[in-house]
Amino acid sequence: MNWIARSRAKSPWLLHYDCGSCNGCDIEILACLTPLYDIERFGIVNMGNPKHADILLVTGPANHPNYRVLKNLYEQMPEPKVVVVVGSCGCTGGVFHNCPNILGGIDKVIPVDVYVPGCAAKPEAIIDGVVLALEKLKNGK
Amino acid sequence: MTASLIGIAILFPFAAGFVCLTLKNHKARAGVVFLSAIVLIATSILFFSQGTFPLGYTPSHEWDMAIFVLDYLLMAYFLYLGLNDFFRNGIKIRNVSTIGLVLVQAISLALFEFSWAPELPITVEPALFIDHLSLIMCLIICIIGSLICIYGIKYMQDHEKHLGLEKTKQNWFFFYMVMFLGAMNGIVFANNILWLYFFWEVTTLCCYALIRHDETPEAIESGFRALWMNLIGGVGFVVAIILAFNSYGTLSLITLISNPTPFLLLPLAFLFLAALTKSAQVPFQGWLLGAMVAPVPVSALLHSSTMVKAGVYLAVRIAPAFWGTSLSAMIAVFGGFTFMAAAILAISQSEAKRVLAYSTISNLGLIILCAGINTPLAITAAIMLIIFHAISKGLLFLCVGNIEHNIWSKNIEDMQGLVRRLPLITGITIAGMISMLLAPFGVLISKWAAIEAAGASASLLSPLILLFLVIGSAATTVFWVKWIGRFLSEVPSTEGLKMEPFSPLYHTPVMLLIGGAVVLSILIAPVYNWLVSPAVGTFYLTTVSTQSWFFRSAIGCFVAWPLFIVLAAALVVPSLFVKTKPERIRAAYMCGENVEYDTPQFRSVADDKFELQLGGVYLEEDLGEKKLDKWFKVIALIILLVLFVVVLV
Amino acid sequence: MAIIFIAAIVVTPFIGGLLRGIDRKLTAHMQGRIGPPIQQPFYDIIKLFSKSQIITTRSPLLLVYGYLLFIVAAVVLFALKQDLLMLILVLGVADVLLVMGSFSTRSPYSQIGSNRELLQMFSYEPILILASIAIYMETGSFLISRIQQPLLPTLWPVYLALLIALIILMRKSPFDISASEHAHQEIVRGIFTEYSGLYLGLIELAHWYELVLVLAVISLLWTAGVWPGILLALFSWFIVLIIDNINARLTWSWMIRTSWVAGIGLSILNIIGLRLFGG
Ligand code: SF4
Repeated sequence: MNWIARSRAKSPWLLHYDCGSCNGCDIEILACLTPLYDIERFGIVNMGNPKHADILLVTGPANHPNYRVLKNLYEQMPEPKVVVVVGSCGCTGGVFHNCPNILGGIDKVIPVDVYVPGCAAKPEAIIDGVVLALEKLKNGK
Repeated sequence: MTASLIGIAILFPFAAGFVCLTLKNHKARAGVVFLSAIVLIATSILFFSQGTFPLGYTPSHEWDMAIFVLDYLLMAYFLYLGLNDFFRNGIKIRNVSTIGLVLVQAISLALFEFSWAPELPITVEPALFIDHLSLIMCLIICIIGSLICIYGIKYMQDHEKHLGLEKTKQNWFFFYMVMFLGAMNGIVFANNILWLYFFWEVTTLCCYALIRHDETPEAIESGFRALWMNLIGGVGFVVAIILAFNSYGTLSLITLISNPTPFLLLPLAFLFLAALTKSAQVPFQGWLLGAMVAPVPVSALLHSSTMVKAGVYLAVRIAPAFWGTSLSAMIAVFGGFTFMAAAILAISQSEAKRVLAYSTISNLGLIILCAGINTPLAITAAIMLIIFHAISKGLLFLCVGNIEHNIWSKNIEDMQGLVRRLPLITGITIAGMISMLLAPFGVLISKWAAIEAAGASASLLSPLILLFLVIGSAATTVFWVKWIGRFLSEVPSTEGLKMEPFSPLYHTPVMLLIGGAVVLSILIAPVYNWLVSPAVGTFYLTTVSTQSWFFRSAIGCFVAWPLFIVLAAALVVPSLFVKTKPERIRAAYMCGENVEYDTPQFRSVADDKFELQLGGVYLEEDLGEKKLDKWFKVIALIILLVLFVVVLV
Repeated sequence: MAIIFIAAIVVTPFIGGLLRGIDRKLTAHMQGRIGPPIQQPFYDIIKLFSKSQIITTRSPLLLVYGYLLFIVAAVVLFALKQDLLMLILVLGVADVLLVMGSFSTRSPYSQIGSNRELLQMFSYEPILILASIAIYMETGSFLISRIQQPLLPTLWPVYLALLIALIILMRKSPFDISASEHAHQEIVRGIFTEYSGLYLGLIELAHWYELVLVLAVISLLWTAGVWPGILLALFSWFIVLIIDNINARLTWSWMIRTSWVAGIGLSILNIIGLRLFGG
């Protein structure tokens, strides 16, 4: 493994965007930061700024009011970048499916790399999803 | 040869001024201004390369008589101004204080000259004394002053066009502008204190006339304020003359300085009073701030090469005489306080010219502080500050003038993102500010020397001075950088920079000045060796060596040129690296709510577009003029009072 | 001299990066977490260098190089034992360039960040300058090469003031007001918000240099032999970490008040003491 790939895999910085979820998955994401799960072990840092992020972590379904924001954030992230969708409603629309203002899954707006299903997704599953995304990140996509 | 050069430096501007006054034709007047600028620059450089210094020169006796008469005429004119205003507008502080101060001056001077003085007029051998300090001042006055006058040619055309004046007043404007340079040369050459006093009052007159040039009520008010505040200095001058003559029997400045005795302190304190009114030190800063109503070339002239520099020149000139006394320590405290107070007040100002004005006051305070510390290193710092401050401040005023004529505003907030609209002049302005603000430029080398000298001073008051120094210099950084920040704040764009059209009369002087600031900072070693070192060496033992072009004092060492290499590398290397392909450009982060990547707008409630509004920090509530100004004035007055008490006791 | 020159440039970032790694590990332990491996900062920076470049405007990019170069210049000046006061001024240049850089994008977060960074400079610069003067009063020279005896016994108030400056310079709580150490706060990442990839990496690199430099300045207070100074510096650094972990972020006015009253106050008292009782 060369240095760059190794470093990319070891230092994924997250941007967490809530696209209109019920907040169930967001709470699980925050749980990952706690001492119990401590995702910083893997070098993962929650950045809150697209310009610094490698992984876009989206919860909630894509919808009319804010798909534009989602796209904007995605565009502001420098390559290589991957998108991880957390929760069923982000994957397909989930419980919000067919609601009037809902577009569907996040992949209706931006390309998605990893889907983490579950309503809500467990912290273990979220970490798993992020680690899966690292494989893609490593090779620079 | 030298005699004629001195004559040209002092008399030619007066003559050229009168010619300007009579010329009604713009082109012809511009020609005269241009010609006199070239003559003055050539004279000063020739003088520098030809003369052997120090030298004394006494012109024929008639000149003494002429100055004697002109002096009273000048005072009569001031009196007329005061009375005229009195009869038109009734009792006001401005006319009452003008009349009062002129009367005090005239009566005491007349009493002195007609009753006590042994001869009429009092003569001094030599009447003019020129050493390297005078020479440095002369170079500054002639070169920078002339550049400002050249800039004024186009500026005043645009200014009058903007005001929509029917009848031009430019002949008066250039009359005073050019004459100012002559009077300043007179001040720095004079050895006879009476001559010095005369030229001193001429600069007051020029300053007054130039400030009220636009004749708006505000301009008239400011003009009068400048007049009467400077007349306080004039009174100080007269008292100093009388006291000095009483105890010494001579009015030769050099004799007084070279034979310091304790009796001398009181006249020196009064001379210092004159110096600090001229240099607009707190609590007399009001006139310089008011002077901002004048057209930009006037401000540039007042702040860089003339007027206020006369005050600090006098302070540095008389510094050897109070070496090691308590007066010296108090002067340092006074200068330090002004340095700090003005820098703090500058933070809360949003008008460009007022920021520049406070910065000037602050820097003059620093020079006076150095004169007060009074060690060779401190005097070195003072003289270098005079040089570099004159260049950078003249430059900045001219730049702001040009910007003002493009955006018709002097407010810093209106200059947001100007680097995109007017890249050339904004770039030069930023460079000028950086030359005031960052090492390794000349001003910072001087500041470095000042801090080290203050640290090394043996005075018991030195911790106080140090406190003023560090707070003042931190505040200086804040107000400059936040202004630069407003200039730089630009919106992402894929378009390249488009330079504004080059206008020779506007851009040449500023380019020459910024070039001068950079080159002289790089060549700090030769500048020191040729100019500063001999100027300090007239009265002090110099302690600075410039081996391998490092600026090395006994207690420290400033390596300037390696830092310039770093600076060059920091500018050149990235321009090779940095690629800006349009597809790389992204919007600024606004939580994903940007409207377009290249507009400063975001969407908020109901997806409406909102303009992004940013502003600088001004800390109006904490550091505003309203809150601090009066306290600063009171403290400064107390320091001044203590200064006089210390001298009397 | 050439060896010192190169060593200063090459070795310093490794020390700095390592310190940052230990910093994160210790912080995690203090919070009951395991934390990233110690070499984590190096992963981060290599990753940042390998990212594609996206930019907002051109001038910040130029200025970032200036920031880095001037900090490196300051490190070299230190390694060559030059004038301490000049070193502080050079450090000031670097910081001003950084602030100018983040001022040059019209972005709310970086603007607020840079305004606050200015206030940070307003708070720590006086302390550093006064410290250099106090050191001068003890040693009789501003040159670092002239410091030969342990200074801490007479300069302990200055040392305390320097600790305050150290917290501000390391951008740690309670004074991390210009660029919150952890994002997700009201100013995102403050002055660093608009930098990404390579440029963020360069800033991080500059930080490593700066960290080592500031600790080195603190180590000057005890120069008998090599170790006491280094231990003193590491001890101060550890104290800062503890303070960081037990404090929340405070407002800028509180920062200025603390650093001026405590920092400048202590330094000035120390200088008065030295002036009165010899030195
Ligand atoms: S997946 Fe379920 S828990 Fe998660 S955000 Fe959607 S609705 Fe809430």
